[in-house]
Amino acid sequence: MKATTHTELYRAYEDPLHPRPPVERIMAWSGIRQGFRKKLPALSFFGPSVIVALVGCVWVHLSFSLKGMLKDGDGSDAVAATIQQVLGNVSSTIYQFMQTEQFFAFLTVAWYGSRLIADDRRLSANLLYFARPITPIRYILGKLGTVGAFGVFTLLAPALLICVQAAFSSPDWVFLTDNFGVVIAVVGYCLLWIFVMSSVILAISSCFKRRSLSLVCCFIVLFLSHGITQVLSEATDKGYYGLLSLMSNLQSISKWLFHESSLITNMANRRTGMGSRFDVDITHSFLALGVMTLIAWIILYRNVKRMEVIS
Amino acid sequence: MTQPAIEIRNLDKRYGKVHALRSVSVTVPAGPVGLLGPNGAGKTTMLKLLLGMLAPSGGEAKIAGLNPTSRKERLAIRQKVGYMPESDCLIPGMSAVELVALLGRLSGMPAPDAMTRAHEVLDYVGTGEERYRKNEEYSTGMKQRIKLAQALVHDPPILLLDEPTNGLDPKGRKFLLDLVADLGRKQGKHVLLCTHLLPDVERTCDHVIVMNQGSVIEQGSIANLTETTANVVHVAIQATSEESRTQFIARVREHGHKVQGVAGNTLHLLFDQDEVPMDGFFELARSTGVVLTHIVPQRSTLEDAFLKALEQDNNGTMPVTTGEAIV
Repeated sequence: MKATTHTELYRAYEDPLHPRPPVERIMAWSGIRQGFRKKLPALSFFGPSVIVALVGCVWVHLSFSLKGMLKDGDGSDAVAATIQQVLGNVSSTIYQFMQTEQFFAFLTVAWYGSRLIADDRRLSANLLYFARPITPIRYILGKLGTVGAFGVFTLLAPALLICVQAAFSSPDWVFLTDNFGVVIAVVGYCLLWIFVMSSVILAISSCFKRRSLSLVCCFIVLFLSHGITQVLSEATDKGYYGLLSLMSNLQSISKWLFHESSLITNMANRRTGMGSRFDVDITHSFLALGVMTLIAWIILYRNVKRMEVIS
Repeated sequence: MTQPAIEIRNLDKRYGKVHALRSVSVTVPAGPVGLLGPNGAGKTTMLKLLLGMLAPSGGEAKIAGLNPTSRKERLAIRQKVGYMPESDCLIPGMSAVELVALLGRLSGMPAPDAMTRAHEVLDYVGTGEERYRKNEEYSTGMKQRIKLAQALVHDPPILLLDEPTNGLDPKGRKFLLDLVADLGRKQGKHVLLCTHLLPDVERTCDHVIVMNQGSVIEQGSIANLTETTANVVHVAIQATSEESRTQFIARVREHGHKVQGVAGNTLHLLFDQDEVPMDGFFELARSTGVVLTHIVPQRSTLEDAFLKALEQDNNGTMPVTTGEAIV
């Protein structure tokens, strides 16, 4: 027999509502949960990042182990030296792996981020959100939290994992004492990358109602702009075209950060300067990136504001 | 006297050249109120203006004493109002219970309360075990119930329901209207039911606001709008023969009363004077061998009032200049 008691009753909610609920956190967490709900995309996007991170961990472990073998001076010196040369130093290894991780991180962030606002627009889910005490900025922060978390999972966390492996594999914590700047550079660069990329992808997502269009536009903005600026730079032999490319600017900044981090741990080299190593002045790269992010936020805010209140 | 739930003065909304709302002034009393009008009348525009989802071109509105154009008050309004949109806006990939709990939390409820409350309101709207299915798998009827549940989750005193019975079968429609009637009449909610279906309003509301082409063309309590049409009476007779029936009708006409229509043994009589002369009438029946079985003064239906208002409106009481209003 069907119980009908509670289907016929309406109970009032007596407790007061929080006047300013933490909507950013609630929305971000909800988005993350939804993202992980579909197993195949989750496996496809996070799997490669995990594999790269594991390979990186093995790589840095081998580097330190071979260094140890060389110091011990046993018979296999020559072989170890050769392998050591192939493996390179740990800082550059971390840098290389982080560069690889960036690709997977971009795929992940673009896949999940491109639908976040586009889907809300397509489904008119903004009517549900903005019927609640949510401001456009807090809505954006909620979405940024979701897409940023995917960036953290695929870029920052694997890079930090390699750093942790390096710290544990290095004798007498020499990685931390001599190369702590690398860790700072990793964290700083990853956070910058995640913030910039998430902002750009959300801005693109807010311009479309279809996820597929939004996703295509993400690839165009990142790869096509990079390709075109590279061709222009090559053709005109002028490096500043690279300032128009998001990817080029991020690359310049990452090179600069990792170079700077090695200077942090090596005070003697600090005085030698580093401007000549780069085609483009790093200040310009930061400026260009800042302008791109600002434009992304203006687009994002404008579109989300229109989702809340149509003038 | 109870404070009105919604007050609107000279509210105006233009979408470019389209005039969606034309200086609307209306006071929505407490209790269940129907916002009735054909498609494109400006009903949804009015709801969105009340929630602050649209910026008015002119005039002002107050809902629960708060102004939706003020940013601060807009947020307060959204805690006091439950909005059920017309569009199919449920987020895919989530179950109904997750969605309703999420929206409860976004309204300011603590997580455990939001989840408990989500189950309560989903019980109330009769979703049963189906609440655990994904939103994209629901039928239209179930989606409408879930949309009502999300509007109720934070227990707001005011409910703005936009076409809640759209796409429902008769059973589902009855169920949802029963819920709306319960909310408006027994639970003390101020329900503004926006619909183009007259029976929905008749069944659930005490007051009605009729809109057409962006203007309010009629408003008042349903009882007043459907008041007795004083001089029209339905009379049912039982005649022993066709001859006596014809004779009765002829005698009625002889006495100066107009017979508007005859359908079998039911006559529609129109009297010139306000008072129906019952005594003479019985005498007429007796003399012609007819038994009067039913004498009921005619009440105009809400449909009559609605159509009359629309007719008056379209006869030039309001200029139509810019085509269909969009919502």
